[in-house]
Amino acid sequence: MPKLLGKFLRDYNSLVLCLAMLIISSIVIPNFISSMNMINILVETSIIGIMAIGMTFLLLIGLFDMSIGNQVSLVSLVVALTINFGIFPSIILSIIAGMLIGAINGFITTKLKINAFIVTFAMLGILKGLNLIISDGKSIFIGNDAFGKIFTLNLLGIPIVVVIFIIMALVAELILRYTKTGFEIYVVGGNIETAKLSGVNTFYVTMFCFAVSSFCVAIATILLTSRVNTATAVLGEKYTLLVITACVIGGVKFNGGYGNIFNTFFGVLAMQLVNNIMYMTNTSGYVQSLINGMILLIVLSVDKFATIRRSSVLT
Amino acid sequence: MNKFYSIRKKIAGINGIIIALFFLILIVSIGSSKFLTTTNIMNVLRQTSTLGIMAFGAAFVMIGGNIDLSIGSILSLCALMACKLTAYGSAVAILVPLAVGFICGAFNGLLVGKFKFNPFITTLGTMAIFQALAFYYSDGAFLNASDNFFFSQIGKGFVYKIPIPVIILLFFFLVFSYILGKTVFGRQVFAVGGNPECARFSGINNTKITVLAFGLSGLCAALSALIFVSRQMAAQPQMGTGYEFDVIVAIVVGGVALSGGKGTIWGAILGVLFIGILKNAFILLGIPLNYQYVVMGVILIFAVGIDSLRKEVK
Repeated sequence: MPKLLGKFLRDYNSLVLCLAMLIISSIVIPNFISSMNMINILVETSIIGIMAIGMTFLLLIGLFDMSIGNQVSLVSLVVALTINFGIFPSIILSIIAGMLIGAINGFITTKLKINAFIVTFAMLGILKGLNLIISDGKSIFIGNDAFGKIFTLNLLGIPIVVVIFIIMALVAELILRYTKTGFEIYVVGGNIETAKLSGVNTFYVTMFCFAVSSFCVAIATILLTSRVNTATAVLGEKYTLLVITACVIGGVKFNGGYGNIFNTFFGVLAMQLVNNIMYMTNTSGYVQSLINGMILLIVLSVDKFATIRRSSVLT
Repeated sequence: MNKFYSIRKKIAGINGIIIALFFLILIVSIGSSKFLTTTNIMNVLRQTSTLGIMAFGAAFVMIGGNIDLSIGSILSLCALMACKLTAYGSAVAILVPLAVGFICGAFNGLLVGKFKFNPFITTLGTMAIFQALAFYYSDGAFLNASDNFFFSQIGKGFVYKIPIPVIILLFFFLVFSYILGKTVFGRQVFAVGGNPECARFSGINNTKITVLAFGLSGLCAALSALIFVSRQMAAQPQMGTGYEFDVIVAIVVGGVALSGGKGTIWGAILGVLFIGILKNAFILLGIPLNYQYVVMGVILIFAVGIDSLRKEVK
């Protein structure tokens, strides 16, 4: 029985963390458990969660995208520029723009065999420049009521963004578990040489993961843009760190091959709970950003020591 | 003959950047008559001095097989400290930020070297932490330095019409070239970056080397911060944001290998000059500054791409 409990704690530590935080803060902080605050947490979780789904795909094959923050800004600017063509063309165009960036990232990474970190780091610079050129440093107001209403839609009282997140998470989990591509993603992440030798098309798998990542970023951005109704060149800058932190809390490993959507979801939730607790307890903004940065390092070290202990038990 | 060969071999590593630099200078001097004037050249050198010093430190980290994304935030933090501490005299205003910069860098090095964290993710995290500390330290506001003649000379002074930052840059160029090329520590950095396992088996303390390399990078960021503050006598918490991008592009263009184990201080300074002249060219030719990010991003991919293609051919 203790062995089973240990395994549960190890495999679902982000879930346990979330539950613990929920229970403690609902007792300690007044108004924490109110439906308004809960919906708030869920909405925030969903926006970052959608991006984290894509990032999980990339991390599973051992890659990482530094440029997602600036992809967010670019997609929001594309929405702003094309909104006059109508809502649907605008959404389609912005998704295409986002996926194009992912495709370029993936293509350079695989065909030129450059470290994905550097490719996406360079892409970060390119997009930053493009965003500033497009927006001229100003924030662009999207004067389209119908587009702004997308975010306020709901299904049986559940905000649309949460619904979309849950659907996307389910689809992603199904892809990873039950399709050939999903299986190949884990194989490539485990050992890319072995994958190549066993006939996996690593080019296709890498491109697929980059495409999924950028698609998720685009969807999240469209919802985010609909919420704030403005597009700026700096809209997304903070998201790179938040998304990567969420994935790390969710137990996705950087070397690839380990992690799943379920745990990523609770990783995002845990991070949002921390942020919400800080918000509810009137923590100063500077301390909040300090803690957000530290969470990443703390989780990395906890993870490291857990791994060391586990491996020392094994040997 | 033998000597000639060794010189050729030395130049071979950086010939790409020399050719690129030559063509850039050619194009800009044709495009603008103001480029090749003494005032402008001194101006470019003075502006690149901060970038150059940071690039030396970053080169140590990258040759050691890692990368440091947090130098921009370290710069902001140290600049704010220097600003506030000018009230207590020059010595304090210089030494304390240098120490803080070294500690910040060494903290990165400890996480990467000792605990084997991924350097990208770690320094992405510490970048946010140092940035937050900078905001916390200054309460998000601009800080003004108090008047202090000696301190202000670091950035503003001239010796025989040569700006002092340029002299500092040259001094550290010589120092770091010596450290990287001729000392045991420098050779150990190459060994750790080239093949960590091999270095460990030959008795090198990998952790120590990584911590020191990162510490040096933090120290260099703090030095740049001092020059910045002394020039402007003011600082704000986001002044270093994005600097890591310029630095990394500069040293990669200068032939420092991303995979570690390869690179020179010579190459780094040429890369820095390339970036400095490129930025100057944008101003002289009247191209909006926002295009520079796009151009530099493309250059980064291009430089790394050529490197990796060359390896493939071999």
